[in-house]
This record gives sequence, C-alpha cells and structure tokens, in this order.
Amino acid sequence: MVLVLALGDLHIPHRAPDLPAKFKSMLVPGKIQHIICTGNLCIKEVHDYLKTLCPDLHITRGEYDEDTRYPETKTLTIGQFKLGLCHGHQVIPWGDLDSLAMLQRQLDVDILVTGHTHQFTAYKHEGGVVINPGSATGAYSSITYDVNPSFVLMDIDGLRVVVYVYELIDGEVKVDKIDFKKTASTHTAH
Amino acid sequence: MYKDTVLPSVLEQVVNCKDELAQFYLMECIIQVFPDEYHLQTLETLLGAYPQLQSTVDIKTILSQLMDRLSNYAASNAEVLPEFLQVEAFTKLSTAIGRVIEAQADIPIVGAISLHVSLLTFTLRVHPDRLDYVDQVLGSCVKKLSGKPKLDNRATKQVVALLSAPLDKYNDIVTALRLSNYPRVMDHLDNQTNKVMAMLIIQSIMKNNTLISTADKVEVLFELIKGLITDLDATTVDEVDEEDFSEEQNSVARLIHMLHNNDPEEMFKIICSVKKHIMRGGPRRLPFTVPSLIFSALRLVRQLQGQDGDVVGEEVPTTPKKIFQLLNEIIEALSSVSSPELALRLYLQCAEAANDCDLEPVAYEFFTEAFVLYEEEIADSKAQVTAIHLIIGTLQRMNVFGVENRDTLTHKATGYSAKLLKKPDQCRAVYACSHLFWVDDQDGIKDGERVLLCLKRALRIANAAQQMANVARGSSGPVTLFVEILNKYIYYFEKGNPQITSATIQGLIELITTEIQGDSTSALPTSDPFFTSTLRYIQFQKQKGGILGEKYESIKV
Repeated sequence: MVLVLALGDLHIPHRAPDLPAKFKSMLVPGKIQHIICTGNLCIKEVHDYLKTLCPDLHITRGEYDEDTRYPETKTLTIGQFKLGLCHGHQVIPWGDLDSLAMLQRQLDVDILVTGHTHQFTAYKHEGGVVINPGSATGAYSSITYDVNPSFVLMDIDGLRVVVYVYELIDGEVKVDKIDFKKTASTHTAH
Repeated sequence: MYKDTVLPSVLEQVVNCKDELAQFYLMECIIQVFPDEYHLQTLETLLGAYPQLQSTVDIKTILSQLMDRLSNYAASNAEVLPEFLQVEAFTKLSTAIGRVIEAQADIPIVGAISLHVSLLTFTLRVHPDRLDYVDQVLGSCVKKLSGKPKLDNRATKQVVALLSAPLDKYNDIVTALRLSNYPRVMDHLDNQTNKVMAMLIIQSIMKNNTLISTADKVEVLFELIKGLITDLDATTVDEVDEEDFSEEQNSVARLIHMLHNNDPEEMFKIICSVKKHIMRGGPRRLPFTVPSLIFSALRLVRQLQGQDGDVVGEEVPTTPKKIFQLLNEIIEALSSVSSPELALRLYLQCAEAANDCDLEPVAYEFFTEAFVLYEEEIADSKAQVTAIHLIIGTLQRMNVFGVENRDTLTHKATGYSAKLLKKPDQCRAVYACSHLFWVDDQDGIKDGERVLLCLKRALRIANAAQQMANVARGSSGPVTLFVEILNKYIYYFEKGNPQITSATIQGLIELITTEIQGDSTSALPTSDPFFTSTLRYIQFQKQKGGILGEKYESIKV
C-alpha cells in the first residue's frame, strides 16, 4: 500500500492565505510516501511546508509559481503505475479531456494528474485515468465558480489504485472514492 | 483590625527607619506576607506610604510586585473581581504609578515602561472589558515616551511586551484596533522593532482567523503595520535582508484576504483603502501585494455579477465596471515596476471576469494591454511561450466578443505564435490557436476551414523543423510534433469538422510512418511510443463501434 498525495493550485498568498485548518490537521508528516503537486503553490514557504509532510515531493510549474525552475511536466513510476504530472495551463482548451488524453499518450502514463481548473475531476478513458485534484485552498478561478477546497489521496496497491477525494464543503470534510484497476497487459514499446 | 491598627503602625515604622535597604525589604515582606484581600482593602493606605519612602528605594519593583500579586489574585478567582471595582483599584494604582514616575524623574525609561506593563497586565486581568482603562495605561506610557531619545534594547523589549499583552488577551484584533493610543506607542519603536511588532499583529490575525470588516478598521490596521507597507525612512533599502523582506511582504499579501465584508459597498471601500496603502509601497513591494488585492476585487466582481444595479438613492452603487476601472489602475502600476509577466497574467484574469460580466469593451481593453506587454516587455523566449499560451487559452474561452474584435485578437495571437523563437514552440502555439476557431459550446464558433488552416500551418512548421534537423544532424529529428498534430486532427475529426476527412488522417499516419522509417529501414512504427499509443487509440475507437467507429472505419493502422 503506497499513499500518494496529489494536490495543487493553492495560490498562496495571491488568492488564499493558507490551507484550510481541517486539511492541515489531516495532513500529518510521515503518513504519505509521495507528494505530487500540479503547481501554483506559489511561494517557497509552501514548498517547504509540503517537504515537511513528505520528502519525496514532485512539483510541476504553474504560471504563478515564484520558482520558475520547476519542470513543465514530470513522469514517475510508483509500483505498477506510471504517473504523469503537469499543471495544465499548457493544454488548450483548458480542462478539455480529449486534449488532456493527448498529453497522457504523449507522456505514456497510466495516471495523468493536472490542475489549473480548480475543479476536482477523475476521468477514466481508453488510455487510463486523468485526475484533477482541484485547489487545496479553494482559490478563486476564472474557470470554475464556487471552488471548494479539495485534494486527492491515491492508494496504490498492485494493479489497483483507489482514488480518495477530500472536499471541504460548508465547513465539513467530505470524502469520496473511485476505484481503478489497470489491465495486466502493459503496452510495451521497443 | 489589620486596616485600622496593624498596617498603619507597621508602615509608620517602615517610613521612620529611613534606611533604604530595610524599607525595601520590609515593604516586600508586607506584600508577600499578608493576604491579597487585605491589600485590596488597604490599597490607599499602602500606596500612600510609598512616596514617603527614601528616594533611593526601588519603588517600581515593589509596585510591580504588588500589581502582579493582585493580577494573579484576580486571575485565580473570578468572584473577587467586583471587589476590585469597589475599591477602585485601577484608579489608585494608576495614580500611584504616575506619582512615582513623577517623583523619580530620572528613572531609566525601562523602569517606567515595566511599571506600565505590570499595570496593563493587571488591567487586562481585572478589567478586560474596560478598554478605556487599557487605553489610559497606553496613553500614560506614550506621555512618558515622548520627547525621549531612542529606546535601548531592554526598554524596547518592555514596549513590545506592553503591545503584545492586549494582542494575547483579546484574540480578536479588532478590540486592539480600538485602543487609540496603541499606534502612538508603536511610533516610539525603532523601525526594525516596529516591523517585528507589525508581524506579530498580522500573525495574531491569521492565527485567530479574524476578519477585518470595515474600511475604518482597515485604516487603523494599516496605520499599525505601516512599517511593512512603506519605507519608514529613506535609508533602509540596502540593509534589508531578502528573505526577511519576502516573508514580511508575503504576510501582508496573506493579510489582505482577511479584509472582507459581504456587503459590496463596504467591501469596495475596503478595497479602495487597501489600494491607497499598497500603492505607497514602492517597486519592491508591489509584486507581492498587488495580486492579493486584484483577486480580492475579482471575488467582489463575481459576487456582483448578475446583480442588476438599480440605482436607489443618491449613491451610485458599486458596479463591476467601477471595479474594473480600479483594477486597471492597479495593474498599470505594476507594469511600470518591471513585473510584466505578472501584469500580463492579471490583465488576462480581468479580461475573463469582464467577459463573464458581458462587458465587451472592457474585456477588449484588457486584452489590448496584455498584448502590449507581450510585444514590448516580454523578451525571454520561455516566458513568451508561456505568455502566448495563456493568451490563447484565455481568448479561447471568450464569448463576449463580436466578430471584428475576435478576429483582431485571434489574428494577433496566431501571428505571435508563428513568430516564437524556436520552431517546435511555434508549431505548438499555432496548433493551439486552432482551438480559437472551434468552441464546443452550443453557439460557439465552429469554423472548420480556419481550424484546418492552423493545423496545416503547424504541419509546415513541423516540416521545416524536421528539415533543419536533417541539415544539422544528418538525420531526421523526432516525430513528436507530427504525432501531436495528428492527435489534433483526430480531435477535430471526432468533433465533426467537415474539413478533416479520414483520408486526411490516413495521409498523416503514412507521413509519420515514412518519417520514422526515414533513415533506417529497420525502424518500426512502434519505436515511437506516442505514435503507437495514438494508433492504439484509433484502433480502440474503431472497435468501440457506433458513430465514431463508423468514422474510423476506413482508416488503416
């Protein structure tokens, strides 16, 4: 069982002062094995905070990030799964599943995690799964109205991944989960 | 009996002995030996004796001890509080302190301030609701501080303790904001300590999640934290540590989100007040503080959206248009302090918001500003790539523009896309522009021909890039760009663009296959994973059947 925290679009301090208190109390150091962050933290303080939660931190560049050295995309392998990470402002039209699917094919990954729209989504399609963890602070978005703070926790176990989404709605944390199973026949490229 | 007999005679003895050491020791004893209730009841008598002591006795310490004991007494037992009121403890102590300070005119300032700290602690414990008392203590301290030279470290520490006490007591900063003498005490701190104090105030607000909800309170707050908002004196620029400065400014940025009122009129006043203050921050501060204010204002715009502004009464209500005007001014200030990339992003945010409010000229104006910045200020090629994608992505979502305006803007966007420095970037930006001519909404534009023109242009650029690679390396470069364009053809094919037929797709597939096999006949089409997964996708769609399946039928992979 490998726990991967996926979050992003915090936009601290431009659009939000901090993570919601209820999220902060849930995110405890030492429980999570990997953190993947879609970007738009935006400042070093947030980077340092995430690093205290888990040293294996992966971040891609959002258009407001103070640190411009984060990569545009990143791929990593966790267990049987190949994950891809990208903020998403580079994929036009923003939030368009078919265009994101193209990125998924290009990165050759099972799970693609992107952000930018501040709207939690999890789509399963031919190539795999596309997940958007939303905005962990519920930051203002020109694309999505009424953003609820949200983040995603993935539990990777063999060929199965359970995606837990945590959303703060009216002051209460609501959890939902989605199951994905990868077919054993992996696509090999020579 | 204590009151009438014991104490007076003891005090008489103490005064008459005229020995400073003995007097000090004995006074301490009296305070520590007898119970606090006694002290309360005999306060006047006790305090009356102090001026009669030798001038060299350290009255401050005795007074402080007395006040601390009484503070603890009050804290331990809420029932005794009425007694304090009954004996007018505060007034008596306050007067006594005044007398002591006056009598010992050459008292080091540290002593005077620590006396006030003790009295303040006492007041906060015993009369927390009497803000006038608290303010009085601060006021008396201000009087003592005026005209004095710079405070030394110890005195400064005491002043910080004095200022922190109300913050800790009243978790709600709004209460502290009502103490009129608070800012006056702060004025006596040196710049560095003033900033430290300002940070403490901000931290108190953030920790307690306090919302500051009126423009008046915002004014007072910004007066308190002015050390962070502007340079208090002209010389400090070089001495500031980068990291400290960032931390301070980021705190101010976070603070702005705590200034809020649900009433739009009051919120607008708050925004105007904040704008006024942060505009005085100078070029180093604006990039930190402006974004927070912009987004705070955009949230207000969204709140007002759809609210029809019926003008009731004489006051013209706050409208999105008014706010956009303000936003324009603020972002303009940013462009003149060399943060063009940030300013461009903010202009685009405002354009989108204006779009949602149906304000075509306003949205167009914001796009124009964004393009000006792109043309004139953004020189770095990587920055240009991101900027043009942001412009394209935003423009793609605009539905407020009429044909003419839209054409002008898309023409500009496509033009700049084709002029990016590196060919691969040009290619990607140009095919991104294809989406400007196809919007999936009901009444969205669906111009199949112009989409195809973009894709063909992207293909030409990809070809040119391929040829350049041939020349440079003697072998063809990666086929990535072609596969990306193929994916875009597939996208529009599925959306039903009549200009894109299965023949078109087949042709492109063959082109790519040829490219891959280009130099070595042993190279298989499967050697490019992206191409492979794209072909697999087509296969998948074919097998799915239905309308899409039919479309794909004639394509051979």
